[in-house]
Amino acid sequence: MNDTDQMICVREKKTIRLHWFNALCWLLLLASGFGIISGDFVRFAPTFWPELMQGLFGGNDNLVLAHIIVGISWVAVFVFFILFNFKGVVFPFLKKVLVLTPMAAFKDTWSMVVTLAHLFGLMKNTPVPPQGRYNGAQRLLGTMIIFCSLLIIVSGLYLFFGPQLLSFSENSFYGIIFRWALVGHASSVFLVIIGLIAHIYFALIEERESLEAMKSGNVSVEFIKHHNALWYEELKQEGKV
Amino acid sequence: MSTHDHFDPSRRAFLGATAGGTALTIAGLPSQALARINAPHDPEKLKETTEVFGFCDMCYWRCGLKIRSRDGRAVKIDGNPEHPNNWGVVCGKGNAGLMVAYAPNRLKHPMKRVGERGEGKWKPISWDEALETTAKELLKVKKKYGPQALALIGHGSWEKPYHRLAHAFGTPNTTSPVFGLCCGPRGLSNMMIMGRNLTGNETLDLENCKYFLMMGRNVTESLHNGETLGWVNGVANGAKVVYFDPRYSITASKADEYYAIRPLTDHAFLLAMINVVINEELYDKKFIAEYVVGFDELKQRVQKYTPEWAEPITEVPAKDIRRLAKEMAAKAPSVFVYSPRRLTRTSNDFGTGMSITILNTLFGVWGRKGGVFTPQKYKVPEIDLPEFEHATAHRIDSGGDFNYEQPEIPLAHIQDEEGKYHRADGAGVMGRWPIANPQYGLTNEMWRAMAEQKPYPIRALMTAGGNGFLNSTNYDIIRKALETVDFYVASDVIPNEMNMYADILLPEASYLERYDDLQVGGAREGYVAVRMPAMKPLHDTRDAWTICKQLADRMGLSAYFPHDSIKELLDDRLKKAGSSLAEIEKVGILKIPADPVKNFPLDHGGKLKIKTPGGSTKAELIPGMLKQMGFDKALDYVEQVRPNEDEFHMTFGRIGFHTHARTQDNVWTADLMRENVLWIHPEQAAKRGIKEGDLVKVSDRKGRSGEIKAKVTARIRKDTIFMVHGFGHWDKRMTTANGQGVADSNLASYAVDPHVGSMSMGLSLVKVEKV
Amino acid sequence: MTKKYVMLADTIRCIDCKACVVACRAEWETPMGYSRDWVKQAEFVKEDGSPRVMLFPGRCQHCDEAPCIEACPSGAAYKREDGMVLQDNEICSGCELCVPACPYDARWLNPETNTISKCTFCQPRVDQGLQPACVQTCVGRALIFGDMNDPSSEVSQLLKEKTWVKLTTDEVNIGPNHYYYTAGEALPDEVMPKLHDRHLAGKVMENVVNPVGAIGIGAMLLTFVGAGVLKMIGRRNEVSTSENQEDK
Repeated sequence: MNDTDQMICVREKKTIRLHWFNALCWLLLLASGFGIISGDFVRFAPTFWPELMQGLFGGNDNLVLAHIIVGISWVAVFVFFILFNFKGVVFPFLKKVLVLTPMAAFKDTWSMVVTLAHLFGLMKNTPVPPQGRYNGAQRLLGTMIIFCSLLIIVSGLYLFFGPQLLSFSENSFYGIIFRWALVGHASSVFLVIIGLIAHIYFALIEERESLEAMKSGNVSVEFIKHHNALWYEELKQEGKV
Repeated sequence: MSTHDHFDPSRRAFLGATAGGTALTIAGLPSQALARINAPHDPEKLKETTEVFGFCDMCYWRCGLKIRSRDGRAVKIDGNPEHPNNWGVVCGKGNAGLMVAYAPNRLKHPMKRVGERGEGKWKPISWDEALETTAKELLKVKKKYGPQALALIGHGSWEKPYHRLAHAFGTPNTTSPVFGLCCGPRGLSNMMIMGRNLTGNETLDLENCKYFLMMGRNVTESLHNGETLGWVNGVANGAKVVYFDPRYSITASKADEYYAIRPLTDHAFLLAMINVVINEELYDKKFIAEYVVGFDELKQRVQKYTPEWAEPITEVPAKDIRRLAKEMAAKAPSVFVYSPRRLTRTSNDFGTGMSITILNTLFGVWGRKGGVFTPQKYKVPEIDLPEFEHATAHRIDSGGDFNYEQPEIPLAHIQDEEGKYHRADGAGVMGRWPIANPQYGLTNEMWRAMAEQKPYPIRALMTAGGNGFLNSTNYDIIRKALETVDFYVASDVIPNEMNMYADILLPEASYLERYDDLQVGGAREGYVAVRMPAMKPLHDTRDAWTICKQLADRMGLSAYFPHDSIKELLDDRLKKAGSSLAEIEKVGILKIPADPVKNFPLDHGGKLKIKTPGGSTKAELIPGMLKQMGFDKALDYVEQVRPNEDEFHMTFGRIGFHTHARTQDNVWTADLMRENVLWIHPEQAAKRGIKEGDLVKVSDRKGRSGEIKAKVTARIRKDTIFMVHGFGHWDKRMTTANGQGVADSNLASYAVDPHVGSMSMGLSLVKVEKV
Repeated sequence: MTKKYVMLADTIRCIDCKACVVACRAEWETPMGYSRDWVKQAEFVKEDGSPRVMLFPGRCQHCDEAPCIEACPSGAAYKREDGMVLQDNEICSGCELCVPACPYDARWLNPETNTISKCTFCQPRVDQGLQPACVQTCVGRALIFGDMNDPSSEVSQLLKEKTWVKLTTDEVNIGPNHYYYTAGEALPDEVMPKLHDRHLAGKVMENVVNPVGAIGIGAMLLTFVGAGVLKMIGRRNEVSTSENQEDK
């Protein structure tokens, strides 16, 4: 990077803080979550992990409590953030990120495929289509993470509060929903993890500069010009570059 | 600035990575061998409880108990490991005793009848009013007719104070069903021949017996826990079991040989056994020489009863009879011919009982290991009491056996020369039922006396527990009796068809909620046990002793209830015995330890002490006293009824978790079996188009009938049907038992044994058809 | 030596009096309609046409490889070192994944607690040196409980003296710790354990979600970690190349 590169602030401090809060919560939730599921038929993690976590917390009931406290805090913070920043941050973000039509999904997928192919020296002659603020992969990932998170939250709340507030013996549906909530909870977690791996790779290794954007909020204009051509145009029109 | 570096090996790397990744993750997937995690858990803790001692009252075996309580409520019934009746075990009924105390429909308040007798309309009243009314009405009857006009019928929890009250009142007419409806013929025949009853604590050395010849006696379902355990131990110790029963019961399933003997013919088999034992000299010669008279006479009388004679009657092969006799002789004296507990089936149960006793005597089982032991008795003096004016016998503690001792036999029907009234049921009365036991009486005859008002008026009835309908077999008599008396006061814990007729209903505290008089028993050990309350009486109930004392006080009979409380009475008696209430409450039971020399005198160079009612110091194979009355003819076999082609013998019996007619409404025991079913052989069922679970109508020759579900099973003879006793209730207050199953007692026979006066309930013949 | 608790049922001594059932109900306040233990009566006709009855007291078998433990997501079903399979109802959700997993039908959802109940070998009693309630009450002394790793225990002696069998089939062989004595008589089919169809959600978790998730995550990790490593190597090569170039 050139010292003379023009930098632009693209992200507010509070958004950055939210991102890292989110990351921390995910770390804690994953660590505890994989420690909660115990029985071999349904467990993903190897035995040492739940043994370690449940041992650390003096029993799975305490571990679950920790998990739900973090989970609810995580949700609460997001809810407050969304409430107070809907017009200013959240709605614009959603508008740019959410993949809502099949056409958009197709376009984004194509962009992602070409990008990944280039990464491995393939499809050298096919250009990556110009991207907006968030590229195809980021939009797909972001959309998936948002919907998965919603499922995680709903299923998670049921998994914890269902047995507490409902009498499972009164209606067999309560148990049916619980068991499928487990499936939904685990499935969406796995999907997010899969996406996260790519996300972390690109942030830490492949596109280091984007990491800076999530620390200081600043990114170079050149970066934007190269990676997010359509967004560059927008910013030019807005007079920001 | 980053560069998109191109890695030549990248494509390969990607493919390899994916392949490797997949392989590794599959390898890392939960492997076939289960990997259990090891995590911390708080172990569940036992809740705190307090404990008292007691003894059970679900049936009459009365196992020793420890009862745990929490927050003033009994929560668990355990056995007392020290008690010889059960050595710590408790059956399903005993465990369900909690639901007697917690029964939602138990009798809660004193009630006064407001509708017709038996209509079931009540008004709750105070204890004062209930006791006052009862005292007033009883004294009214006494004044007009005399004290003998009161009958007391008991079959409840420790009815001793009621008997004392009735005797204090001046009547001889107190009775419990145990003799006339159950053990009478058996106990009496033993008593007449050996001078010992045997029923009661069943003083049998079961663990060491090597050969059980069982004439029925379904010991695994007609539970006497200590006796059952002893038998199970005996079997485990290698005893051979030969079991006779028209029904393949649980006991049959543990027998080495099972004979589906024709109903009512046990006597024929036993006589043939006696024939073989005598003729082939399989008896204990030494024992006979020293302890027995009447051998030659007996030998002469049984000559006609050959195995070949018995075979067509009993359907037991003659060769087996000979073989069994030889097998038993080889194991004697550690053998036992096992009578059923209840011997009220045939038209000659007394004769059956005699032949069982004779056979045991021929094998010399008395006073020897593996046979019948001599019990010890822990002597606890009775409290000081005034004389009982008219009582021929008063309820005294048994020491191992029920007390079937014969009194002096009075000579007139109504009163003797001293003006003492004879029992209305004729028990112990010459010219009526001279050999029937006057301590327990003939309950069946007492009901008849009330219905017919003969030999003299009985105008007042008091019952302490019991169910006169379901334990008798002639509902007309019971109903007539209940409708005839001027006054009926019933004391009970539970509602039932009989106490539905009461004018005054007194709600008793259950056995878990009260002290009662001491349990004095005799096993190898002599013992006295205490019953302590595990909780305060629920609702507005009172314990039996308090009820009787409060009635006694109101009738001028306080001298018979001199103590202020039952605790004082207990302490009084125990102090006389060298102990105290405080002491026995610590341990629950005081014992004289088993003494092999005393228990098995003949194995330890001792002598058997015999004193028959006839006055003999040797066992009388043909009791002289019976000969005097002509009752020795009971020894002869009497032809029994047989069903027609389309009829069945009507049989009934027990199952391990129900008993009498009192557990069918218990929420926990009813849960195990809500209704009885009719056992019918598959061939007979097929003939009638009956399948498992079908509703069938069973009816007897008198036109009595009921509807019941069928159990189609090869476990019953083709000419016999069976149902568990005690169901078929119709009292609407019995919310669990009402309308469930059929009352066997309404299908059973009402004949009377010609010698004893006890009931013959097994003669009924019924038809079965699909509904 | 670690304990290994086992239950012995001598079917010759058992009389089907149901004392064990009622005692257990009283001890653990089991609601009506459910029971932690039972006695099965197998009634059949032998080849010669004669009737036969056999009695089988039963309860949770506290299996060596208990499938209920493996079906349980929260670990509420767990096995203690002494072999007891226990239930931690602080953590049980009542999801019932464990219920069809048990081929002995020992587990059920308690309508009063909304957690799973089953025989615990009376762990709270045993921990205080008492016998399980069913054992203590058994009229025929048919139930015997104890530590089979203690050679002086009653169960060890009995296991040596007589031949005891377990309720296992070709299909279900998970190391039950409940032994039966039948004096050599064959076990009737009706008392044998049966494999049940487990809840679909649990099977999906085990056979779809976890494996697919593992494959996906594994593939992603290896791809991107691999890619990252290769990239680092590439960078170092590049730097050294450029350094070399500078040196020239």
